[in-house]
Amino acid sequence: MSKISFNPSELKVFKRETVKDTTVSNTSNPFGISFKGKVLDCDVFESTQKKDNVSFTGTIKNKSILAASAIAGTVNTTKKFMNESISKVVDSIGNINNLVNNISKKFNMDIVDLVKSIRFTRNPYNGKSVDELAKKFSDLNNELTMVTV
Amino acid sequence: MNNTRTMSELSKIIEALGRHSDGSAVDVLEEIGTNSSEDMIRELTAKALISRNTNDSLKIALIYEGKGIHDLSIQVAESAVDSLKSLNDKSEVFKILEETINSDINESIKSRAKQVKDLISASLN
Repeated sequence: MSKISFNPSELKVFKRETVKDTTVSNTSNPFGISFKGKVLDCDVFESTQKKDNVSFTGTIKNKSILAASAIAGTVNTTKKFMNESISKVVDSIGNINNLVNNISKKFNMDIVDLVKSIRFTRNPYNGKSVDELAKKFSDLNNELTMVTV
Repeated sequence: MNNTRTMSELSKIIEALGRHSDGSAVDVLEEIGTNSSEDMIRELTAKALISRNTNDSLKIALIYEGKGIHDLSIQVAESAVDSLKSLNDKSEVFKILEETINSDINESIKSRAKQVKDLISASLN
């Protein structure tokens, strides 16, 4: 009795093909809910090709969060700065008000009268004679009347 | 010289005349200012006369027909009344208005003086 021998090439017919199971990740959700500290931002119904873009959007999201936090920080510092500036302005207005009140008390005058007096000191016609003023007044009045007529 | 600049110059001259120590400044204001065809000049003149707060200057603004509170322009007359209200010492104003109401003067001037007196009295309360 001869020994049965198998040609290995013939056995290939019976060999079962091994199929590689490509597991597609379908564990994400479209609402960006975190799972064990990791943000699941991949859509369940997305194709494999689109999966690459998801990571890209993820980085954008992270960067946008960073940018938002930076903006929030800037807003806080700006708010603080603005509050300090406003308080300084309010203080200086109070000081000016006190100064004006003190001056008006010293000269025994109203603030309005005091302002009028200060303005009057800058009037170029202050201290001129009545004749000079009357001549100038008449000339300018005639000039104005001629323009309007 | 343009119109705005002329008005600015005129307002400075009227102010200077209103504060002038010489009494003849009142005559200049009456002759040129109150007879001007420009409402703005008449208004400024009335203000200057009232802020002077003397008997002769107030008489022009309170008694003379077509001047001060009797001006045909409502704006000028109202501005004059406002100036009277803003005076610190109104004793001379009340004295002149009282004299005008009791005098034998034009009836329209008397009635206007009475109205103005009532307005100033109301503003005091």
